[in-house]
Amino acid sequence: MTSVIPPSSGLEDLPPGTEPGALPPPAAGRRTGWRAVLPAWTPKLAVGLGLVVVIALFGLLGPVFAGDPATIRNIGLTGPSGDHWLGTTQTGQDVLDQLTHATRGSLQIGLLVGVMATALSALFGVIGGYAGGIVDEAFSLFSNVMLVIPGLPLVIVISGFVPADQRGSWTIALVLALTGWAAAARVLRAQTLSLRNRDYVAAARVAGEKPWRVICVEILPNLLPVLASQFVFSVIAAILSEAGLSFLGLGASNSSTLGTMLYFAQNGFALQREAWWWFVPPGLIIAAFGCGLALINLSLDEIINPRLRRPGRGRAARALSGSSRKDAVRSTAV
Amino acid sequence: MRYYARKLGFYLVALWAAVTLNFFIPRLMPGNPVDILMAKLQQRGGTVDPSVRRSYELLLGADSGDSLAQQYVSYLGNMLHGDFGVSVSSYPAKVSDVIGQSLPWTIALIGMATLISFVLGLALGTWVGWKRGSWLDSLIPGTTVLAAVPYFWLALILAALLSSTLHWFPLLGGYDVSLSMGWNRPFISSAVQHGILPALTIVISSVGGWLLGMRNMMVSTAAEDYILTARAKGLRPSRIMIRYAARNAALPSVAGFATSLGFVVSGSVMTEQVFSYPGIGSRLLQAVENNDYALMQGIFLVITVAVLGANLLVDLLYGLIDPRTRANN
Amino acid sequence: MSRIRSESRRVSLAGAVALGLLLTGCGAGDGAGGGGSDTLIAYTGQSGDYQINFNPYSPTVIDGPGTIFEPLFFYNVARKDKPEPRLGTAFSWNKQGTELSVTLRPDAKWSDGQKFTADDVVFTLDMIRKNPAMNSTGYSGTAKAVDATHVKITFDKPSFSDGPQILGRSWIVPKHIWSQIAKPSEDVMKNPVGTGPFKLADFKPQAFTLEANPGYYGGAPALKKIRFVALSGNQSGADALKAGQIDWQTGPVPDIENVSKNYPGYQAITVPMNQTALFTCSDAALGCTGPQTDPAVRRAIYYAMDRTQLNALAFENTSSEISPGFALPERDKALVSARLTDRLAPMQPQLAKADGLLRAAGYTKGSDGVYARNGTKLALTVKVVSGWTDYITAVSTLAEQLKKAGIKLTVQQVSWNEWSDARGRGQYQLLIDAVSQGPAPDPYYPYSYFFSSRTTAPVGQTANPNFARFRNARVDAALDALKAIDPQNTAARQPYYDTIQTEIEKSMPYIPILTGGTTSEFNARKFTGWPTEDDLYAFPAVWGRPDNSQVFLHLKPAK
Repeated sequence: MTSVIPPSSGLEDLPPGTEPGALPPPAAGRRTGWRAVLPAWTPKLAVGLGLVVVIALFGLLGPVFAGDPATIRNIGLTGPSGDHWLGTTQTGQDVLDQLTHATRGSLQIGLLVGVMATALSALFGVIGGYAGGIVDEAFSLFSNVMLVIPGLPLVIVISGFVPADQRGSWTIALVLALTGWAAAARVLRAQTLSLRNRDYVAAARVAGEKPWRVICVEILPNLLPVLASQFVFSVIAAILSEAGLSFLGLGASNSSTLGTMLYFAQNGFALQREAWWWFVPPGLIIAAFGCGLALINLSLDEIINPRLRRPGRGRAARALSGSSRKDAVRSTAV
Repeated sequence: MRYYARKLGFYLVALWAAVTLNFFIPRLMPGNPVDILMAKLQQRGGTVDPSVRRSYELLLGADSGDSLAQQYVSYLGNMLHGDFGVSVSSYPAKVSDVIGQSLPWTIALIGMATLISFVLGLALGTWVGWKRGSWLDSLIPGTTVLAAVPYFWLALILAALLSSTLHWFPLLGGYDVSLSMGWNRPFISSAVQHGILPALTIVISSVGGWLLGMRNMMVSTAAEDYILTARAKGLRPSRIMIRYAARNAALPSVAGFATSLGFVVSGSVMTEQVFSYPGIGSRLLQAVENNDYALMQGIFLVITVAVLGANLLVDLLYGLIDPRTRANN
Repeated sequence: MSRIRSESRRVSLAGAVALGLLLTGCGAGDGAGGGGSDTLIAYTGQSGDYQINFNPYSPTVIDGPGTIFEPLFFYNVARKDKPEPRLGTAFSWNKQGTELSVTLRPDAKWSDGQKFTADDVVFTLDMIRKNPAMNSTGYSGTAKAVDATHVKITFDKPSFSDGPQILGRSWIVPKHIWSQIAKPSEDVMKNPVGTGPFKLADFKPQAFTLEANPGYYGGAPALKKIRFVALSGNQSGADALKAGQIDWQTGPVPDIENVSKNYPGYQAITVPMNQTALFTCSDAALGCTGPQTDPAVRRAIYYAMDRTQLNALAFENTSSEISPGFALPERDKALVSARLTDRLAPMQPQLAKADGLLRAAGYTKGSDGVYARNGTKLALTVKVVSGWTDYITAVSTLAEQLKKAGIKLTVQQVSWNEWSDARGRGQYQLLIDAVSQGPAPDPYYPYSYFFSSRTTAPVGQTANPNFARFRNARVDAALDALKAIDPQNTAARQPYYDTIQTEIEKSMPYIPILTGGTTSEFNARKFTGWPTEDDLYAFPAVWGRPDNSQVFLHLKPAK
């Protein structure tokens, strides 16, 4: 299961009201309004965005220019050359061609999981936190149960329910989303609880605003940085987890991803045969992409917690810096 | 007291729900243990004589004829008694024996690695947070790269490099199998030797998270009034850093640590696969691949209890530390 | 997860062996985890820890059959040998095949010192019959001890074909110990007592060790210790081999053609054994659906595949030719029917034949190059276990090859659990798997397992193991007849083999691909006496039981 443990799962679990009113209004500080939710332009952010954009373009446009990754040639395991910039696999397939398609596959999974997991965590965390009472209890209970749900057999179970000819990356994405949203929901719940007691939210409620309107207009915008950070994080986690599942042979078997590519390399004894050009690039792309996203996340953190942003001593109340962290670290959450 | 009772009740319900899911999920998996066993034996040169399958069907009791509801009730009863049944993939060993054999290795390796990673992350985080703005800040993006590398990819490369090529560490396994197992010096030292590289890979990929969390808390804490006061009083900076700032900043990390200890028992399939390390992770994989319902349920229960237990502990600790928590609930 | 079955390489064997001999001078690293020069370290593909179990009748036994507990005779499945005496010295059938007389060795002893007698044999056979959960050989005879060294087994009906199971796969256990066990099928035999050449020395979850039995009737074996280790699969097996930490494993290694060069002191041997085939759900009357229920489609696929390319790309040239009648081309050479259209499946595609077959069956080629009949495209799906990379490569390559023949093949990778379920219940169109062999070197066994209507079931129920749902009255009749003919009487048996093979070739419920090779790598510098292609005295797979015990008996520490 989790090979590396989310160090701060506990943080999200701060019981409601630990720090009532502790969250600094996002507008704290110099910037106000929507600008506050945009990260400040720093080298970190620039590098992060750069990495992400380059890799995304590679995955998006690469396949258009690349040859057919399945083409088999009689030149197995040859090193990089003019014809094959990154060499060939055991069956003579071009590694670079495969890499473009695999990158696209992995990004697709990452994006799907990011959207689904964030939506789920927002649904359960925000609504639960806002509604309180029995709804909150039920939703928290559900998140807690989902936290301990075993992902490994779930992959097989869920795949089993999808007709074999319709399977692909989204099956695995579904599993990863289902097993990956619970921790984030608990962060969002804690944040929502603290926002709920704010004066302006209370005012909106007293003014007779409908609950969905309060949530959408008053609460969600203030949660945006947290949501963004959760989203970015679940994208990293999804790509890493998919690679991990693939390593165990349970990955997105009918589609091409960086994980399945690594799996084939590993099973073709790429390392033992010192075919680094086959084994190293997929891992590097994942690492670079994850790193880019993590850097973006660092910048997002600085919005959530303004003190991280500027040196000196803001007088803002102690922030829950908790949100960043369950981080980047899980290599496989399943 | 009401707070504690509620919390306890909440976790009991969560436990029940998880246990119920753990009953149904394995049963939703396609296939059945006998066919999988047959297919496996066939690959190992076993004959596929029809009598083989019939005898295994009888032996493993693939179908007891009970309805799902009956099975569920007796499952709940058995779980209460700690009777997990018999593992099909290690037939006729009891699930509790199979888990008992693997769990100590997992707890030792993953537990140690988690502890080291936590302590190291905390220490580095304290330092980096305190020396904010210095070159140390560049450590942070560095650790995020490590955290973003696929674990098994990194581990395989390190194993190929450090074990296969440089021979610094033993290649595979959890101990030197020619030694006699037990609390004797050669065995322990061989076990430690075999554990270093796997532990190292885990620490490398997880230390970044702790570091970042601690550093962020340090930055926040450093701006508190009482730190200012301490500085004004002219206390030694190292004393302020450790006694005043770090002690307070570490609180959330400690809570996080308690929770991650819960996840320790789930072991690490990755680590155990890469290093052929004995442990609960590879047992889980074995159970999943063989439709070994009893073993899956047993392992899930251990994980569930540990994770929920750790979460409960954190909740209760917060209740103790911060009375407002209780009031608010 | 990877396919444990040795997907090995058909190296030119002789070449590999010769090279190995040349290289015996230079050195491999000392096994770091090794255990002295007289200990043989074996890796059977065990993934994850061992759970103690030395009950030879348990499906999860970790070792013992052959090494600790002996059969009466050893049947070499790799070569047409006479059964080798173990606890028995001679056996004979009566004419009808209803009475089997066995003469036992007078000098065998159990490892606790007690004498081995005919009573032990009778007890063992009775126990098997009384415990259906242990009766994995389908034994239905009645055994009687004539005297201390003679046993007579009688059957209700001719049972020649049960001989190898009873004589070669019934592990004789000591009556004085096993009669005290309440449930012999569920005991794990922590302290196994047998007559075999080896005894259990020590068990640990990561490894267990067998040691030579000094009281063995044949004299203590020259091989003093065998250690079986647990690793995590093919990759770690290859790593351990590279590090010199294991002396014998069966499974793929990188660059299999150059084992003796890459692993100084080691040699490889490849034995063709299991026949790789596309299993088809063939019988529409039993509930199969899809174009593959038409024999013409199956035969067209047979002709459309390029076996040379498949062998090169998917199997590293370790596979070899296959006969469409499913007798092994080398071992069963004499049995391959002369009445077959192809004695061996063509190694090159014969697209014209495939086209002809499909046209005759009413298919016409559409504008997209794919055949269709009555508006239905000739499109098929093939299931393969995700993780079995050589099979995945094979079917992916096949898909490209069939495209040229106007057949659309879609590869579906599914989990191991789902695949075995689909295979058993016939819920598939095509899948890739192997037809495996029986307890004796005789194609009768695969025929009776995979081609008999008695071993199949309607779609939805588990077939055991005629997964293709093949039913043919003439094949059934031939199998019945074979059961009543003494295996020695080859002349009388051949007509029936001819019938079976020609019927199979006509229908092709299992579309033959290639004969898969099982490759093993072993340390020839530390031990001598390994099987070679010229002297294949046992099937050299380390996981083969009792085959591995026969190899252990032949090994000697070098120098």
